[in-house]
Amino acid sequence: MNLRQVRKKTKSVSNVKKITRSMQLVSAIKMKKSQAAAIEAMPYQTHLESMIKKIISKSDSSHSLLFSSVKNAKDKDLVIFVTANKGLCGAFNFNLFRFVGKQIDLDKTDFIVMGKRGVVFILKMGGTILADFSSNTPINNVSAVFNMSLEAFLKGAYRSVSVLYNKFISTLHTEPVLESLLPMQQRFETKIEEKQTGNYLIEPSPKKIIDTLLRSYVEEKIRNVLIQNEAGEHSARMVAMKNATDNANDIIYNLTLLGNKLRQEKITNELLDMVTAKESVEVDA
Amino acid sequence: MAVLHLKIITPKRVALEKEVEKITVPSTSGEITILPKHAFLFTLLSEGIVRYKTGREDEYLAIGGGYLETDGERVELLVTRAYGQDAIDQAATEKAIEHAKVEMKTPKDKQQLKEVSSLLRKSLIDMKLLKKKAPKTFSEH
Repeated sequence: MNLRQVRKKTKSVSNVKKITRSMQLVSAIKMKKSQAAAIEAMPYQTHLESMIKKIISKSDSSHSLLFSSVKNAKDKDLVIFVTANKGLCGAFNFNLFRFVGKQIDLDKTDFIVMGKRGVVFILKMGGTILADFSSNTPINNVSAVFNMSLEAFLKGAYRSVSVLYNKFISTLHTEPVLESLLPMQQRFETKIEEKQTGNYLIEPSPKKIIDTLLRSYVEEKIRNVLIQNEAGEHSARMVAMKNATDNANDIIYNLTLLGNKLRQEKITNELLDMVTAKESVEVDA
Repeated sequence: MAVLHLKIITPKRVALEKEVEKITVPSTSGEITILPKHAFLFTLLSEGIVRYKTGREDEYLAIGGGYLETDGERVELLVTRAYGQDAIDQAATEKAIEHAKVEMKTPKDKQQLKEVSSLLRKSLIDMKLLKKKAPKTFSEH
């Protein structure tokens, strides 16, 4: 590489650095917001869960259709696949894709996709997409997604409904998980413990309440998954962009060093030329 | 004096956490008031207005549908939304009501009718909430 090429390269790398740096800052702010949202959404989820446990212990689970698959349901599963809309967030999406490749039988699974990256991936793999709810504000689509999957489940088109997403564990760590939503049996069966809750009056009746309660639980679960997905996405992007910025700094450092060396070499050569030229003139004279 | 520990939780956040003397909520089978030492109760809530008393003042909140659970000491409301008078824009709400009423007469399809009527219901509740008590800033002058 000559000096001019090195300078050009340094310039372009420092431009890239500017971009990655600003993306890092933007993601950091978004991450803080979405993490706060994830934390604030927690109480609702936990309270709803504890209410359901209490009510279930008081009533018969046969009250709700959501507890078991419809008889003669087709031998197929429905997966709600939640990914990011954009790339440039490290292994965030790819971890999910790898999970799909390993754990999911594409012939027996249909997908409802939320997130553009997921759409592209599923199409490439030749999977079936039942619906695509990708948008920049996926939270608004939650009820639509829920209604659609519930309807399909109750009709017996699918044996189960689950959701595949990146569970937000910490800023540096997200984990792809497949959580089953419907039927609900396995979720609560093991957890029910007869606590001393006293005699609850349940109005209008457990029968009427349990179904609505479970429905809103599932819907809320989907909403929560989206919030976690967003928190994870921004965290992953921030970390990825930080790494990119650090790399750019390294490259700039090395290039500058190389550039200086080349410049020095050029100067030395020019000096040598001048000296030789001068000497040759003096000898002639 | 015994108090109730009131907690109103929406999917977005904990909207309110307060010690209150009594609380009146719209349940699906009619309005109910809960006082300290109320029997253990679990009920469905419909859209409407929650009234709670702290000291002398009655305070109001509009809520979306949800659930209520109480054991005589705590009252927990899980609702789709909850907001006070300050969160409502009167002019915009009035406009929304008129708009909704017009739309209701010539609905395009069932879906739209459903949306419009739920919007209308929400707006009417908002107006009711505004009429309950003039916002403090006005009443003081």
